Amino acid sequence: MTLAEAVKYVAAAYAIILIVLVAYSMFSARRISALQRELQVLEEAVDKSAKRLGGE
Amino acid sequence: MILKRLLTAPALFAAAGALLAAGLLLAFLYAPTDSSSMGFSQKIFYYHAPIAECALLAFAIAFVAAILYLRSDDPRYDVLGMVAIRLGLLFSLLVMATGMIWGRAAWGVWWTWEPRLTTFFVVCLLYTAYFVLRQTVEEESRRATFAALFAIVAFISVPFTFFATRLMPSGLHPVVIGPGGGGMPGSDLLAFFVSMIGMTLLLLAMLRQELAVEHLKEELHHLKNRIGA
Repeated sequence: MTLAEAVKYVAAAYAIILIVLVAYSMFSARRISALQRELQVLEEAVDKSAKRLGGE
Repeated sequence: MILKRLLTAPALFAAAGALLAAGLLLAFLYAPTDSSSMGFSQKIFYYHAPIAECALLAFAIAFVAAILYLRSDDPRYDVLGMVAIRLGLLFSLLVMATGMIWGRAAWGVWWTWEPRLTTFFVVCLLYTAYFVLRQTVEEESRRATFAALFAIVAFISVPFTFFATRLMPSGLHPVVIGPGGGGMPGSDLLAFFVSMIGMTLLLLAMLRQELAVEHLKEELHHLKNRIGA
């Protein structure tokens, strides 16, 4: 195998590692922000109902 | 306190990133190009082997978590086992992909039923079945018990994979670390060990992050139950 061919394989292997790890990071970050948004909505709902109960 | 701060996910990600970058530089700039038939394609080894070791380490963590779960009934160990197997499968996917590319470059084939590849493939199938099992049992504690038992049984395949090249030498997959040193020169070993430590830290960082996500999901679930959302 020539050096040029070997370089292509090595580059492909490291590119796959990079792509998978970056995709994982993006997926993970999206999941965390979605959960945080959901948590915020729930906290607001809890605050509103607490205020309503306090007012009654 | 300092150790606790050092073991947070961002700190672990930063350390892993630095070591993996250093490992890559050492592999390409310091370690000599392999003089055997593998030639330059051997450079794949510096991430491929550490990823494989991390996949097996993740399965070992799941094995320990399964034993701890069966002893304590603590659901945190069930979550730890599940997350470790999920990451183990992610790393296994990377091992298979990079291994196939390296196999094509070094041996001229994308796949061969060689002992290490075959046993690794079986490990992947077994741990994929773990998630199928989790989907089929609805009741939480039963699911956790079955999953723990499965993780313990599935782990039997891991040492077979690790020792496959030693027990059944095929001549294709080299033994990296063995009684004779594995035949790697010092400069190769340095690049390998730096990448190895970096990859292990990356696995631990991902494990911590996944556990934090699962914890957050559980908190949300409890909060929803409390307010009836």
